[in-house]
Amino acid sequence: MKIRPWAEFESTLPDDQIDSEDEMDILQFAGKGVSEALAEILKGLGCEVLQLIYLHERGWEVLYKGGAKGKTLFFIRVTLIDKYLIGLHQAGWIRTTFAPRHPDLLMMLTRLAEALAADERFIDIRWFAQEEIHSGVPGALSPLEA
Amino acid sequence: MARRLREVTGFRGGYRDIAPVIVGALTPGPAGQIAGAVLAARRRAGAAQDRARAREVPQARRAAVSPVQSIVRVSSTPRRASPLPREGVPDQITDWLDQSPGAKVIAGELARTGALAPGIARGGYRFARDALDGMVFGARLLNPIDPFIHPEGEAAWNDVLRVAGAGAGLAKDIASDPSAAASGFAKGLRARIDALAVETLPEATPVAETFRGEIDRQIGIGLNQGELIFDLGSLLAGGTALKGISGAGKTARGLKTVEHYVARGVPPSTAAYFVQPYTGMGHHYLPRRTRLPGLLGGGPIPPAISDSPFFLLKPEGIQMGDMYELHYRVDPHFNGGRVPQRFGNVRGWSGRALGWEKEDALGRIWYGAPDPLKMTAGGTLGTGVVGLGAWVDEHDGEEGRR
Repeated sequence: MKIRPWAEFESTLPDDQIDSEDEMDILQFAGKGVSEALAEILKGLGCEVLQLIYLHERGWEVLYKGGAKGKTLFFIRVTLIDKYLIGLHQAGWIRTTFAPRHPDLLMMLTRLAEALAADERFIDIRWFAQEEIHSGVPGALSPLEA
Repeated sequence: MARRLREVTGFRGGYRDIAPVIVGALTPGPAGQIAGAVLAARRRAGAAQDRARAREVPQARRAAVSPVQSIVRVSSTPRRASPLPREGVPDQITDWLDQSPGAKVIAGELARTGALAPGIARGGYRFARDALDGMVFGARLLNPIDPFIHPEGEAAWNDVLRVAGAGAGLAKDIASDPSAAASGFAKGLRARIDALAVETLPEATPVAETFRGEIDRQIGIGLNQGELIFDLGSLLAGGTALKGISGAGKTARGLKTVEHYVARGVPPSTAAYFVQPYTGMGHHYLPRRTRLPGLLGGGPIPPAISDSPFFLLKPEGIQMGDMYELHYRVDPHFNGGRVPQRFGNVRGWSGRALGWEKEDALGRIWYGAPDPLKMTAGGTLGTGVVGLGAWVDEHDGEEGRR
């Protein structure tokens, strides 16, 4: 089974990128609205949202605790490129290195995918592995599709 | 007259630019003379390119902007310009460090001392690289098809001929007014000595207003002192003369141009954005999501630490494209982004689509580390001298000492 932690989709939420007055620079990169929507979804899934972090050109991150016991630290990176691109990852190099397929991660991916699919604000959701992003592959319908 | 003398002798550059000419002139046989003369020609060509680039950026900006104003971007909310609320407002520690002369002196001394070894390494690396450049240029001179595979006027022999012409003009000027020539030479020499002092003596420039600025200033001086040590040593062995030969083959790696990015496959509208000065927050070596352990109270890392010179990578004067590429390389979760509306690329850019590559874990540790952190780690771990020099050179730029 291949894990595809990245999802690309369009959204009915407002494009909240803020350009400078002369439109030569970006004062705030887009993704705040989607991040807030994701934070609400995560809370609905019983997760504890810790922080919404602005990362400038890299977009936004939602830091939260979830998993079977609700104590595992995860983050979702949100960036608007052509479409919204979000990635759900475990926080911390120990888990990332030694437990890249931890059951908590698989559970969170499954639950998030179901929640996104059921939310009308997110359209045409496709899931990708890191090496598949913007590579031309169409993407999978599920993050854990074989 | 004096200006012409400075142009031909390359006085506008650092002292390293003068030394090869002098050493070349003193070297028996034609090799030294050719080396010095070709170096001067290259310097003049580089200066002309710099001036052209300086004119070109605003032009490119206008060219990139005007056609895209007709592109209508669909957005469900009106755009507005409002200042972004700043996160991580400088806390009391930062303020105290900025206002403490003692803290600045101690940190500055440590930073400058720590930068000496990397500076020497940079000198060694540049020496090795420049010697290679010189060999390549020599090979081009001997290559009969060189004029046919380079744009008109850019063949290796064109440089030699240009120098010959300039040298003849200079000789004529000197003959007609020797006192003015001597005066210009002395003035240029004084200016270079002054510049050398600024580059290598902490007392020659004022202490920076901020703690971080002072560390940056002292690191620059330490690197310059280190390279000076190497150059003085290599001068005794004729090494700087070799560097002079290499100057002929050196390509200016200054500010990137729109054409640079277009040649790498970046759409022109995005390329026009990539050449703008970077205005973002930089790369945080400690991810911003990193939290303190419970024993230390939990919560996010204080900005005084995460935004300190040891953990924030934001090279001074870097352009958008360079910083985005660096960020793409060292952040495994960064894949691309948008450009401002006026540049017209509504689809944004993708690092993968542009052919950029991600670093592996070791590369992220190394390339994502800011200078002070890297020097500390380099000293501790005994990083290889040439590798360190290559890195210092990469991060400190090609334009001589800072």
